[in-house]
Amino acid sequence: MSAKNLDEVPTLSAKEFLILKMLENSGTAYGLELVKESGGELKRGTIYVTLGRMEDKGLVESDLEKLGGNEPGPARRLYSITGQGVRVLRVWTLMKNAWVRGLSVA
Amino acid sequence: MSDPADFKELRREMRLEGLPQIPNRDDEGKFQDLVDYVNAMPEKYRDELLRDLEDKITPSDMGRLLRSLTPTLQLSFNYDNLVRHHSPKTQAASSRPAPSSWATLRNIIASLLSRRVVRPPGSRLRLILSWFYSKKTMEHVFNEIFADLEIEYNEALSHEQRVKAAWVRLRGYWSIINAIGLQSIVSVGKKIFAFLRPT
Repeated sequence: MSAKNLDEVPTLSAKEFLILKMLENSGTAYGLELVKESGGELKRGTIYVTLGRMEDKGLVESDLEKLGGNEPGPARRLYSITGQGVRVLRVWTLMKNAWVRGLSVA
Repeated sequence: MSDPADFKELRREMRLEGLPQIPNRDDEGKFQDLVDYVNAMPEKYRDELLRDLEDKITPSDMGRLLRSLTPTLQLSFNYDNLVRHHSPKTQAASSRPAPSSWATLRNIIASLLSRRVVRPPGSRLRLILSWFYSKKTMEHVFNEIFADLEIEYNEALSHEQRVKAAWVRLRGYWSIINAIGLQSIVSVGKKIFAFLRPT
């Protein structure tokens, strides 16, 4: 995670929040799966740049899938949420809920 | 067989001997004889023979024969003679009789298409991008988009949905353009952040 100062709340864009939520639900997913599941909120052209930035921030990690000898097509990356990503997601979920309910966050 | 006149003479002799024999549909042996005969003959006489054969065998058998020939022979004949000769624009000007059916030409085109060297969509663009972007950016951003493009494109083609395949290709290129734009913004943003960040 690039924000080494633990006093700082890591920033999270709306798309990053959505990706973290989807990855927490599904466990692992390909970028294209995330695009399809998002119902148009995530775009094919920008998802991988966003995922790359999230990897830099330590929120997600990826592994290149291992294809068998007979499987056609190129290998793709499987993305999953990291522990840091789960923590950031929970903090932001709390903040979002508090904001929606009009409560102050102590 | 030093010149065409000799060859014509030889062919006359061969016809007397029954060669090349026009094969029946069920006679695989004779068909293979014909293929071997055409494959083995000197190139400069081959086209003439193939044209003559075209008048004698069915269009589908002609297509089958052309598909059975060695690729270089087939390509030479297709491009230099048959396609030009059978083209609607040149047919009127041609001194040779028109083909009995377009099926022959369709077979040839199909065989040409089936033998084309097919590259994954966007392979040239990937090569160009790899000159400008780091290995990490290529692996994490662009290769992923190209992989999605290839998978969706192949899926569309496997269902013979050519229009969808073309659309997938177009959409893939648009995604690449978007990624280039966003990646540029992110890179510049990172550099500005690193520059302004207090040490």
